[in-house]
Amino acid sequence: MLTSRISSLPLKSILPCSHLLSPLRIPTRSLNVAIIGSGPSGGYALKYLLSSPLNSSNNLRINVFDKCHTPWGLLRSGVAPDHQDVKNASNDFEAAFEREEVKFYGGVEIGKTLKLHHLTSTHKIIILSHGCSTSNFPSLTSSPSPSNVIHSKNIVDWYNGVPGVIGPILNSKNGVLKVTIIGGGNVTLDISRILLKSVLKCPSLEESDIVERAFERLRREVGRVEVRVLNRRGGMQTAFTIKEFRDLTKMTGEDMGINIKKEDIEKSMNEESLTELDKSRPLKRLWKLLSSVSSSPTTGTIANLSIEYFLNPYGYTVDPSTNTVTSVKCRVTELEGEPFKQKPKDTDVEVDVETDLVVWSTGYKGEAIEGLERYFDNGVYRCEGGRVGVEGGCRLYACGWIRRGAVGIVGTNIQDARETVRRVVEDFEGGEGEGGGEGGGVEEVMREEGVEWVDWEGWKRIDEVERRRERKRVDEQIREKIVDVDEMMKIGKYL
Amino acid sequence: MYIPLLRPFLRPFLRSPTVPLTVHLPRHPLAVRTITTSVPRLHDHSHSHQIPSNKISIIFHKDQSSPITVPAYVGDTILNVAHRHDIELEGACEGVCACSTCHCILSSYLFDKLEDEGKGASEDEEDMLDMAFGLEENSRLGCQIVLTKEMDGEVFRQPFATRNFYVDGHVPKPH
Repeated sequence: MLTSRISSLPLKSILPCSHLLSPLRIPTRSLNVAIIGSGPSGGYALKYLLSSPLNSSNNLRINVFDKCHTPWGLLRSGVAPDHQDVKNASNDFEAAFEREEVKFYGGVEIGKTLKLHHLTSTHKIIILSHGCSTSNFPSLTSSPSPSNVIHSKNIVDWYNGVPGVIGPILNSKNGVLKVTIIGGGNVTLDISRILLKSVLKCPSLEESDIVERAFERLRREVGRVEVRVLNRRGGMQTAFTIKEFRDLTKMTGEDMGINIKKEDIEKSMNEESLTELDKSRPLKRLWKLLSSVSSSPTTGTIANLSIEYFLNPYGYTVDPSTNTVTSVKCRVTELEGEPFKQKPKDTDVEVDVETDLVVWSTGYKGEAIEGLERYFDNGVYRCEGGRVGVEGGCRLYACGWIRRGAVGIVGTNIQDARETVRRVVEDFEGGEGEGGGEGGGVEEVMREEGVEWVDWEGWKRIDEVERRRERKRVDEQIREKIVDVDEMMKIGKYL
Repeated sequence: MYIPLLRPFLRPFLRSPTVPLTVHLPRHPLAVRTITTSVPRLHDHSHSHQIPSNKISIIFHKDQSSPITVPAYVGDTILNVAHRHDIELEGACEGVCACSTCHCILSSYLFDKLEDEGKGASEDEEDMLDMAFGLEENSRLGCQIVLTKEMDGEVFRQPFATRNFYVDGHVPKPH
């Protein structure tokens, strides 16, 4: 670590005869590493690569590609706008991008705008950290996709300013919007919180970086909101974490209520679940909070959240005239199986959940980069400690969600990235390997292919514009994100 | 309030038999120096204006590697000291108790002492700890522990870098 600090010092600035050094600083060959994706996993991989022995003993050059024109992946487009503290991790990555040996190529999608072979011919090592962005959900109906059924990704992308996302249709009736969210993880709570805060007119949402296109429509079209979260299993199998839920409980008051049915809590306490409870400190603390909320349910005048368990959606009632779902048909379930492997089993009892908007918040899946399908299984790259394989002489590694599946928080990537980088270093020290990265620089290839990109300086200009743009809401607002790719390119394109 | 009461019941599973117990190094600073093999790696100038009596040393211990003794000042947080000395303790949220990446494990002595003095983990900190990997009975967040004179010579152990992030079987869902 100390050595990496020294190597990052600009030699020119401390040595008097620096002009003589320049020829020495252009080595015969550089060790080119490509990182695909600049989210938390790519960011930590970059950070640890820079402080690894690879950087002190080689002429390392790291190229970070992102299909978005902006960096930070889910820190920008996943983490909820009112959770700015979580986004602080990007400050750490920013420092890495400021270094001479690191380059950012925004708006370059590997496998599409730039082919895989273009990368393997210009790099020795590729770290795949492109995350999981596929969002499938069962259709549950024979009618062509109803207009008010979406995946959670759609609504999250919408309020977080991913370019080109139109967002959900808000079919409020007299200003009341009934939202059904299927699946109860932290994404579900994020979406619920944004909807609730919007009708409650919370300053923390106004000051956040929620984009105006979403904020304005929510304000205009939704006056009251009723969110119902449907879980297939019981309370002890709750997927969200206590912090996110406690945030919501702190919002309750005259205008907002949270409801968890007492029967659901009682039914959740089967013997197998109690075994699960006994083995987990986080669950014990969460269970205590869930139980206390269920024993004193509250009803608010304009915003309500209800968390419901043992419901399995199996169909919709569709209004054919508008092709919209008016209710979600559910079967009541019960649990079966061993502790930690309990599954929901349908019973004959049915429940109809009236709704104006259905959000499937059942997680994300990964997709292989074109050309790497044979290393791919079940939404992740098959790998051992991060090693994926060798392609055209170039060594491939994986890191983050695309390595372990779409679970875990920002910090989970730390262990992951450290292990992957450790493998990269081990392999490199064991021998450079044949081929890969022998060609010219990737920038030349991109120019030949007519690929345009946003470089690091370009992103800094975009960032500056977003922070300085005129505010439509309050002065405290952190930034107003640019949601148009053409506008981003106009400001940030590398010439 | 709730956690201390629960602690005796948590004990059997929080500290699994495969995880070695906290290494109890002698707490006297001089004694510590004689057994520490690594030298502080960066000399610390940042607080040189402070009066010497505020200067203490603390020890970071990670996995199987040798413990690292570093100088520190009363009033600083564990996270700040770690960063100043290039100790591998992240702090993704920059020390505002919004992530769990500066998780470290205290000696039972210090942990209990802080609890007794009313400086135990707040509800917010406990909530974040629930998401930390390698959680143990004496786990705290480094950003929430402010050094005092009495912490001279204390060992702060970093969680074991195991693939089983969640020893208790808990798998958090994505944000």
